[in-house]
Parts: sequence; C-alpha cells; structure tokens
Amino acid sequence: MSFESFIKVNKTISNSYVEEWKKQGKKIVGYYCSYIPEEILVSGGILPFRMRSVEAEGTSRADTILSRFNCSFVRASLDLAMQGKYNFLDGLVVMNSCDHARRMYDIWKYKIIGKLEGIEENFGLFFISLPHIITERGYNWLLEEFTFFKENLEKTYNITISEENLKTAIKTLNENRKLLKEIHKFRILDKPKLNGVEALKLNIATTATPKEISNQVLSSYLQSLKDREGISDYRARLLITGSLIDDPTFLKIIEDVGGLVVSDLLCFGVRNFWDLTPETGDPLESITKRYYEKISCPRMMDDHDRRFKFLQELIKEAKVDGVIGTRIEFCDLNGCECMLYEHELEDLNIPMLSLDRDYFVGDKGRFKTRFEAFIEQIE
Amino acid sequence: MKDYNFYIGVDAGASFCKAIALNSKNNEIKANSITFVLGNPEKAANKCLDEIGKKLNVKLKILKKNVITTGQNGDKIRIGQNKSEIICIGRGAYALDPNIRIMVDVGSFSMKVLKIDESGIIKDYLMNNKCAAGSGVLLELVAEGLEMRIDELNNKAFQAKKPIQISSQCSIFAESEVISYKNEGANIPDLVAGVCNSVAGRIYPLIRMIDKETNKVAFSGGVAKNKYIAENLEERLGFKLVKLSLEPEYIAAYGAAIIAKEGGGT
Amino acid sequence: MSSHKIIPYEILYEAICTTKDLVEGGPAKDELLVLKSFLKHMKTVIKRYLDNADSGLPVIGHHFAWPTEIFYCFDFVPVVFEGIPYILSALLPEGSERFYDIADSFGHPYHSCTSQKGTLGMVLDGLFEFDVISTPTSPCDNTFATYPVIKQLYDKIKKQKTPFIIADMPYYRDDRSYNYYGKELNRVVSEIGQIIGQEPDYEKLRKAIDVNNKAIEIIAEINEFKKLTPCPIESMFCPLMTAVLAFIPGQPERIGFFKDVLEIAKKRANKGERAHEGEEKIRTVWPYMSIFFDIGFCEWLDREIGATILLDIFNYLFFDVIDTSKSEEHIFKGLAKQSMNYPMVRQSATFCDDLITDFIYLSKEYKADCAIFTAHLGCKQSVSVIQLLREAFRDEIGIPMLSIDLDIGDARFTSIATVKREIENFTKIHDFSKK
Repeated sequence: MSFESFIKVNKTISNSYVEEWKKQGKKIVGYYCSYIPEEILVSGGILPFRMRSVEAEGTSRADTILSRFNCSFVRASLDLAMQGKYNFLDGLVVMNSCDHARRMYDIWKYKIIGKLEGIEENFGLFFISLPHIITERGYNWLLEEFTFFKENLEKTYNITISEENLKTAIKTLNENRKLLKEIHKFRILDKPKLNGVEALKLNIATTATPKEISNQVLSSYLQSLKDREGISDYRARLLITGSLIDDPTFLKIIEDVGGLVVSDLLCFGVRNFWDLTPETGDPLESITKRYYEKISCPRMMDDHDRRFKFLQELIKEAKVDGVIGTRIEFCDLNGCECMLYEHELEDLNIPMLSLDRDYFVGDKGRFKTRFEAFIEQIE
Repeated sequence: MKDYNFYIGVDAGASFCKAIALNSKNNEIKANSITFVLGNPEKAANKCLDEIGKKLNVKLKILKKNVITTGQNGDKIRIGQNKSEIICIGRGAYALDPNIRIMVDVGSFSMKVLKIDESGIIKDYLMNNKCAAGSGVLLELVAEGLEMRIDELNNKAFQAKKPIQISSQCSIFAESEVISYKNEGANIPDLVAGVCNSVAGRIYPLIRMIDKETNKVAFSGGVAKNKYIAENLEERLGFKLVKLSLEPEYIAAYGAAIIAKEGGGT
Repeated sequence: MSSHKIIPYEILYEAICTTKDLVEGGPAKDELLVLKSFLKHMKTVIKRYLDNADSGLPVIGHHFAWPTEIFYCFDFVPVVFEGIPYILSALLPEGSERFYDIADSFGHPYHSCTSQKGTLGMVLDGLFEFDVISTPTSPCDNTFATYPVIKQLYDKIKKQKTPFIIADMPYYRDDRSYNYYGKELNRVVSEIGQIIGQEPDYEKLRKAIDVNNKAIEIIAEINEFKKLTPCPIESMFCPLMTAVLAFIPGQPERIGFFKDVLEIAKKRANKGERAHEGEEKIRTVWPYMSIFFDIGFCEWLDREIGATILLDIFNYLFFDVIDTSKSEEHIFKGLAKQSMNYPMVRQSATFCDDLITDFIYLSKEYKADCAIFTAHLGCKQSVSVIQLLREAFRDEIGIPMLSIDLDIGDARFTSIATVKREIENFTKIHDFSKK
C-alpha cells in the first residue's frame, strides 16, 4: 500500500493490487467510459477497472479486425486484449460512448470471448445505453438501464447487491472524489504543490486499484502535500483537454519545456472526480442523477454551453494562461469540441493550441517544438 | 535447333522495373534484369528488355512478341498486354511452389496479400489502396534520413541490441519520429530494427485478415529482401515462411512471363 | 427566388435544370430513364421548396435520419443537411469540395463526415437561414459533434440563438426503445410548433405518411424485379433512391418517381433486358453507400464492367407501413420504428448484428456474386465492422468482399480513377464469369 507502488500503477495494465485482488478470488470488470456507474460494480464487490492502452507496442493484432480510420487508443486497447494483457478481467461493460469504443461490444462478442485463450465463454459482457441529451425522459431511461445493469451483474456473478451495499459504495466513491478534489486544490495554487504528470498518475491509479486502498493512499498523500514546497519555476500555467490521455509521457513533454499543467478537462482527471453522488434518497436514483448530470463529455450533444462555462470556471480558478486541446486522429467528438473551444476562447483572448495526434506519443520532437512555440507565444 | 520463342514478364513497380524471360520448353528462367523506373516506366521496360536481349543474344523485335506487363506502372507500358499484379504474383508463386496458400507482396508503395487455393486460383486478396504505411516507402525515407543505402538497413537491424518502438501510424510521421530519435542520439541499429519491426507489424494484420490458420505463407516484393523484416514477421506469425527459389522481387515478373507463355499475351 | 434563405437549394435547382437539359438533349432517347425521371421530379420539388422559402415559410434544417414526415404537421421548408453536399457533389462539375475546405479552414477535423462538413461550409459561407435546426441523436459521432458546431457557429454569425431541437434515440431496437423514441418525436413536434407558431396538424401528417406508405409498397415491388437475372434496373437507381428518400419526404413526387422506375423495370423485365446493352456479368451488393462524387460512375459500372449494384445500404427498407387510421400515439410509435430502422440508422446506430444479417440475407436473396464496401472516412462505426462483414460473406455464403478506403462525397480523397482500377482489378482477379 505504499505510495511508490500506487504511483507506478500508470505504467502497466495490470498491477500488484489487481494481482492481489484476483488472489482473493474476487471479480474485476473493465470499462471504457466515465459514465459507467462505478458504485454499482463496487457495491457488488467487483473492482471497476478503466481500460487503458499504455503498454501497447502497436496495433498489429487489432488491425486484423479494425480499420485504420479507427481511433488508435481503442485499437491499442484491443491489441492488448488480443495479446492477453486483459486476461485478468471477468467482464467488460461497454456504453454507446463513442463510435470506436461502442464497437468493442460487437468485437469482444464475436472475436474475443471464447475465441482467445484466457477469455472464456463465461466472461461477462454488458451494455448500457446512455441518452445523448439530458432530459427527464432520458433520466428515467438511464435509471432503468442502471437497474438492469445491477440485475445483470447479480445474475452473471451470482451475487446480491443490497441497498446498503449501494449506499456504502456511494460513500466510498465520494470519499475518493473528495480526496482527488482536495488534491486538485493544491494543483491550482500560485505555487502548485504537484505538477500535471503527478496528478495524472494519481488519477489513473484510482481507476485501476480498489477504492479503499486508493482512499488510504490519497489521504496520506494529501497530508504530505501540505509540507511540500510549491513549484514556481514554470513559464506558463496550462489546462489540457480533448481526447483521452492515459500516458504521462505526453504531459511530461509539456512540463519539460516549462509549461505547468495546472488543470484539465479530461476523463482521467477533473471530469471523473468533480461531481459527487448524493448520499441521501434512493441510492440507484442518486447514482443515476450523478452520472447523468455530471460535467459532461462531448458525446452529450446538447450540453456544449455548460461544458464551455465549466471550462471557463476551471481556467479562472487555476489562473490558466493557455489551453492545450489534443485530438486523437479520427476522434470526431473531441475534434469538434476542441474546434469550438478554439473559436470561443479566441473571443475571450485566451490562447489555445489545438493539436492533432496519435494515441501513441511517437514523435516527441514535433510535440516539443509545438509546445515551446505555444509557451513562447503566451509569454 | 535453337528455340527462339521467348516469353517475357515485365513488372514495373513504383521504384524498380523487373523483367524475366522464359523459353517455350519449360518454366526455366533464361534471363532476368532489373532497373530503376525513375518516372518513366516505358523507358525502364525497354532498358530491361535490351539487357535481356543482350544476355540471350536475341533481337528486341523477337522478345517483344510475347510480353505481359504488370505492376503499379505496368499499364503505362505500351508493349504486350497488361495483367493484374495479384494474378501475376499468384501465378508466379504457384509455379514455384504449389503448396503456398498465402503470398505476401510488399513493394515501395503497396502491400498485397493473396490467398491461393490448391488449383492455383486466387480465392481472396487484400491490399492497401490508400495508405502507404508499412510498405517500402518508409524504409526508403528512413534510409535517406539516416544517410544509408536501403540494402544496408537489413545488416544494421541485425546489430540491434534493443529495438526502439516506432509507434507513429503514418509513414510521414514515422519518418519524423525516426529523425527525432536520431537527433536525440539513439543507437542507429536499434532505430533501424524498430523501423523494420513496425513494417512487419503492418504486414501481419493483412495475413491474418485473409486467413486465420494456414502456415504456408511466402513473402515477395522488394521489401522481402530484408531478412530482418521477414524474421520479425515469422515471429509474429509463430512459424517460418516458405522459402522461395527465386529472388523475391522477381515473383510478379515470373508469373507474368508464365502467363505470356500460356498464351495470355496474345 | 429572391429570399435567398436557402441559397444551396437555388444552386441545386440550377444544377438540376442544367443536368436535365443535358440528359434530355442528348441523342439517346431510351437511355438514362431513371435519371430523367429523378430530375423531373426533383425539379418540381426543389422549385416548390424555393417558392415556399420565398413566401416566408419557416426553414427547418434537419438530419436525414428523421422520418421527415413528422414535420409535415406544419407548413415549412425542409433542408436536409446530409443530402445537400452530396447531391451537389454529384451534379456540380466542381463538386462540394469548396464547402469542405471552408469548414476545414475553421478547424473542422478533416476526417469528420463530408455530408455534414459540406453543410457546415455552406453555413459558414452565409448561404443558409434557419428557423430551427433539428436532429435525432443518430446515427454517429459526426452527428453528435458536427451539429453543435453548425449551431454554435451559425449563431455566432447571425448573433442569435437558433432553436436546436433534438430527439434522443436509444441504442436498442425493442419495444421499450420504440416507445421512448415515439414520445421523443411527439415532443419534438410540439416544441417546433411552439417555436414557429403553428399548431400541429395531424391530418396533414397522416397524408404525408400515406404517401410514404404507398412509396414503401412500390419500392418493395421494384426490389422484387431486382431479383431477376439480368437485373432490369440500372445501378444508378441506388444512389438516386437515397436522394429521393432524403429530399422528397411525404410528397406526391416520391410516389411519382418510384412508379416511373417500376414501369421501366416491368417493361425491361418482360423482354428479359437490362438497362444497357451487353451482358450482366457481376451482381454486386454494397453494404455501405454507393459513390456520390462521380455521377457517371454507376453508368461505367453497368456498361464497362457489366456489374449491377443490386442494393446498397439505402435501398431495402426493413420496416412496415404505418396504419394512419389509428391514434396519434400509434402513429408516432410507428414513425419511431421506421426511423430507428431507417437505412444506415438500422445498420450503424446500434449493434452490428443487423448490418451483417441483413446483407447476408440480401446477398442470398438477390444472388449476389460479391460485395463492395465503400470504407467512408467519415463513418467510424461502419469501418470498424468491415472485417466482421468480410468474414461473414466469406464463411457463411462464400462470396468475396472488396473494401475501398475513400470519401463518398469528396473526389480528392480517393480519385474515381483509383476506385475504378480497384474494381476492375477485383473483377479480373475473381473472374466471376466462371460461376
């Protein structure tokens, strides 16, 4: 439970906590999207594990199935699965998050489960249909979906999820989010106590480790932050948004040239921990409310204004000098969202760098040059 | 009596033009030649034929009687008839070894995988029609960037201790990635090995898309001359490639010559 | 034509007139019959839209995936976002490329679907005035991503807040989902009514649905004729039908066009003829769309290759007519079912099973020799199932599938020459004549 092993979690797909969990005979279910109700999994004694692609060396195996017009992150994650790196999973829950990730349901169904050694027929494959707009009818739909999901988990893994279990899980997850939010406050100080790389590593670790352990590590880390000296030798305070980032290397390139990533609007970051689940009332209703109304991702079609307003709040709160939006090639959702931010921030005189990239941080030289130029422009 | 009926296959690729001459008795190769295309396939084809003419001491007029052209630039040559490269590769491979079920052909800009059945018929094929990633052009770009000849890449790669992972999906980005590593002072053999691995990583999916099981796979085209890539491909496939008795860049030309002999050229 | 609210429709009208003159002025009287009928009906309809826009009727910019009939509760002018760039890419010599470039220059991702990119370009060029923009949440990320961009940037240009009305479409295809979506459609109608100040007239809606019901029946008859060998209908019918579905909802010309095609098919079938001289050598199905950016492509396919496009993703309707004598609730649920099983929506806005089983079924039913898949750059959810489809065709019915990376509305991404070469190669290598 040391901080050292926790902060290392980001480097690999599996980790010591996962191994320990499996040793105890407990279940792990993978997921692609921050709209997956983690509380429901946790309340069933299941470890929710967010899919990442960090160890991938390419997409050669996945390219036997997917097209080169598909997102390289999703292809890389499929490649890892085909390599057996995700064999510790007992199930996968997919949502209609984006066109690339949603196809993982079809592909796991037809090409992975029962076809690859280590992913047997009894592997649990779940789907949740999430509305693309925020309405009362949509809320009721999602409540039903979450209820079905809970029942499916109970059936598949022969478990019972009680109201009490759900309430406890809500508390545990809220604790986790509160801790991350407290840590975030140290990140936005004039002399931040941690940089973007460290924040990303922590955020990743919380998606790949048991929440109780995560809470313990984060709270002692939080204590240690107070005595830390702040960072003052940076050239620009930056916020990063856009397509998924699960590899700290990318942020390291920015921070190595003097940019300090003080805030973000990412799934492995603010978007995941910002909103809490109400701890009163019917737990499934509270969970539905939390996920449906939380700060949204660009897949939510009618919510751009609220997202932009929230982005402005983050910018203000963290005294951000410039925004970096990265778009993984073939990601229409973040591609268009970054495009809009660029136009809107221009009106507010906030500099923004919009950058197209692969999931793989291959060409470091090119990025370094772009970041250096952007920081100079800000200065 | 000397047999003056020659059957010529000309494979005009993106970078090289290859020609093979057979005579009527059997499929024995009487002469071959290779030259750069340099933007003029017609001229390159004539140069190849000239050279064959000299080798065989036969007049050009006689050689031009039975010609099949193929390859990316084959349709730009006004000699003989033009045939699809896939058909020529399939024919050539089947003639060399009828047990081959899958041919993988990688040239400067193209990657092709074809599935051949027991009677030599092409059952299915896949090719990159838009993106050059994984084809020889990356090797050419990298060789240029590292200031070495393309045929030196193979030996360099075998000297690698720990191949560097080249992750850019696109050839142009990959070249720039390689140059970045070079500027950072990366070990050149490790870098070259990384590039070769990435080429093999692009070829592999096409093979498994067309067929899940067979292990009778042979590798042709200019890129197949690179043994390091061939070995990496074997590693990914988990079995050895079938050895061909002809230099890999001549397979399509050989197939074209056989088609010419079988009357496809008249 | 003076209001200039829908300038791209004016361009379209001109393009239709020019093409019509060219086609009808040509020497061959008995050729391009389907195209001639298409142009005749489109000319009438587009003229009506222009006149209506002129008279001040509200303009509704909408997605092709609607059952557009729902708007026929109102007096309005439809602008189908995905339709206009592609029909112009077919009819204008210079295509819609300049509109794509405008959108790109504003930072629109190069890989986002050109069907919406073109409309975005037109909006940025100041060519449209909308009273409402409306779409279902279907079928793809392009829709979720580009519609908000169109709305936001349009508002910025016009310095206003344009009503943006969205109906949420669930991912499943079951009764629960149809009920949900039916209610969404009902909500959309009442919201739009309030915005444009019109009371929904359900009798008008019923009439529009009756027109579509009739068209559905005729299309089914046409499809029966396509089972014949040789197929009596030209390949060009496939993309033209896509355009008719998008541009002519709920109006008599829809019936007019399909009736014309049916008559043409009957005449040829009686004589055992195809649309062109020469033999039908290859029968193809296209599990995605056919190509728009080159209007001559289908003719080339028919004449030079002897290949017929039997069906593409838009030509077989997997839904029933709606009983308009029943209640409004019943009608909206029926529309929901149609919309959720509308071509492209059915096959790409949900799990991939329908796409695969539909095309395996159709290939057997229509005796296809092969499949050709246009791997459209914009359509990420479709390109991700190419291999699953290829294997299904190969392993279940033993026919090969050619897949070509391209952009169906942009002649620059993969040129028509490359597309033709790929197809020529494919037909030579597989030698379908031996079958």
